[in-house]
Amino acid sequence: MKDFDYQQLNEIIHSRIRLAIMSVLISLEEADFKFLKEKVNTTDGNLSVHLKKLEDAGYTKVKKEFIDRKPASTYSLTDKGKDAFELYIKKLEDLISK
Amino acid sequence: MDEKTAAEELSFIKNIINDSRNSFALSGKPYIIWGILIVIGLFLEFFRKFFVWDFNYMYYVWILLVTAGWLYSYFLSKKHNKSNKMKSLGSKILGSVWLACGISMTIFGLLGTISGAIKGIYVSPVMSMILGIAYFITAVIYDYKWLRNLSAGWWVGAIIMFFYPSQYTNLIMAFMMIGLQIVPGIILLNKVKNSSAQTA
Repeated sequence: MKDFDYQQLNEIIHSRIRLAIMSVLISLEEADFKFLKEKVNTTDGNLSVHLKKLEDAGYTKVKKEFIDRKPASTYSLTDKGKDAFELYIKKLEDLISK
Repeated sequence: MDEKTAAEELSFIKNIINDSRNSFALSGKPYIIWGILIVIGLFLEFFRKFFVWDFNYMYYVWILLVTAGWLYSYFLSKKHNKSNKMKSLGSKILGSVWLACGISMTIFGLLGTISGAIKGIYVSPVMSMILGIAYFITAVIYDYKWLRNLSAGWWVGAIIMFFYPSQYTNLIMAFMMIGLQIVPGIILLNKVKNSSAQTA
């Protein structure tokens, strides 16, 4: 079994939590913080840090609004994020089919 | 990274995607509420004709029942938009399909008969046909085979009611509404309750 050069994988996505966030968002149009927290199963602080990293990379965008006078953040993938995720999957699939 | 890790990673991604897609849980409540309202109307309509009741307010009863259904749907969608946990293409399509079918059924069943353009006896088979379409699309989006079978039930019912219109048409439709809408609504409601209990 030949080892794959992991550096070929996108290091922003190649983290369990960020990968989970991207996987949730790729299947939806948008999701709020609470929903992401439920699906990714992590703490508020940890999720915030990873969401920020994805946002800084231009993979996600956030919409901040007030619902019933309470602040709410809704996240979605950008086109760049979608492309990066698809490429990441392709690399994994290539590795398996080798 | 080796092939095994890559395969595990892909399976992890697949599981999360499937889980998120199924998150827009199909609540059975609207099916039950609408089903009960329509069944009330259908039974009243049947008894009125069968026992030759001198009751000339059926149009008002239908207007009341349908208005109650729409008010319920309106407040439900308002509540849903407020909670706004996530949006998906699937939930959007589903909402639009049911809204479009609901409007069409209201125009045809209520306004069509009030205006005198539609014969009352053929309202049920057309409703049954439209419900077949809505259930079929819902089943495809959710990938529920049993729900797809329901649409077949609605279409078969429509054929029967078209070919054999009788004083029992409303009764047949009422039982179809119970078996193909209220009961599945209860099943869906229990599914949602069970999955919420598991995630809690």
